Amino acid sequence: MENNIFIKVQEAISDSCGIEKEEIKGHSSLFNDLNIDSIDMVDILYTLESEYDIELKVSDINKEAIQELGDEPFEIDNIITEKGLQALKRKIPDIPKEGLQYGISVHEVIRMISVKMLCNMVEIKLLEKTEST
Amino acid sequence: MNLNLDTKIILISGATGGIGEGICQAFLEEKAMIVPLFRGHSERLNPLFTWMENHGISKDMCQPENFDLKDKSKSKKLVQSVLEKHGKIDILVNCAGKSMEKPFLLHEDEDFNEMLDLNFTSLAVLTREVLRPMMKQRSGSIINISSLLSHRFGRGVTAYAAAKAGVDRLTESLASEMGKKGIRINSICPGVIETKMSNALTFNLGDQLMERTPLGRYGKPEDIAQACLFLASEKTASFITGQRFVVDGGISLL
Repeated sequence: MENNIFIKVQEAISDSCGIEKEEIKGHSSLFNDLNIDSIDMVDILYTLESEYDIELKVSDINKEAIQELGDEPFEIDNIITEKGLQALKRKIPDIPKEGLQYGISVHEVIRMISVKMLCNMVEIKLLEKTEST
Repeated sequence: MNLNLDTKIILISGATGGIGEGICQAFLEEKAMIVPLFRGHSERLNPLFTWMENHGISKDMCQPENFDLKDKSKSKKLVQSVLEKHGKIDILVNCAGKSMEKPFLLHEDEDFNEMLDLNFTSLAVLTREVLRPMMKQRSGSIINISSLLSHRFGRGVTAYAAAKAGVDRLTESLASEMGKKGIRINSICPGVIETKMSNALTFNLGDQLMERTPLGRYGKPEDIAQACLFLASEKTASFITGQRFVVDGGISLL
């Protein structure tokens, strides 16, 4: 199942951006390593949404960390709080920890999305879908 | 000239208005299949179906969808439904809109909201939903019916003019984002066109405006429709995107 998701994500990225599948590794950062832009990202998400009949948003990456914090703010003026950073580290184990320094913005976290993290987002949505049916 | 539109699926909002109906007819004459959006009673499409019958065009070429553009949350569902039925959307014509003649100082808060909602936001939302499948297709043409008032004249129609200016800027900005996905986006700015919407204006001004128009007449819906065909076709406009086409008989030269 997981492997199957990886193959589909790899295909979606390759089709959208014309990158050879072999170059798309689990640890590859979509924005920094594969150089995709936000329009490509919309294209990739739409392909995966259609493939799995789910709804994906880039902002979903922070969702669990925000939920864990409850009433505590995740970000102030778009800068992630110290507690927000800790929650991100716990909830997204695959995120590069060295990048999670105080002062980074929500947008910069989105730019850290790797192929594996995208696969996880799909997997979580599929689990939610199974649970709701 | 064959515009190669005969295998295309055209989604048209505001299809029951004067210009919208003219656009529907023009695409049907090019043998394209149209999906006109209408709100409320389907009888509003009867004039179009009668025209089709008189021109020997099969009813199958017109596949209307009942959709209120104000129901923005349902735009995604609408697009999904069109894709399920027809497999693709090649061209989107955003023709729905409403003007409001009122001095600026008499505008209520809700007037601003209404003008922006009907003329800008609902167009932007429908465009966003249509763009997703177009990106997959790596092709598509979007034509926004704006207005000459987006950048000229505009006394007494401030909110409408501002909303249409938004449409033009959306067209330009979006075109630069979507070019690499093979999608072209342009807007058409009609001048005074003989429709029910402009009846009051032409009645009030009598022949003054017509006499001042360099081409000496008001526009007809088919004038806008032909510009629309030109921008829709890859044969005529494959290298044109992000442009504002003024179709006004030259009145903006004054």
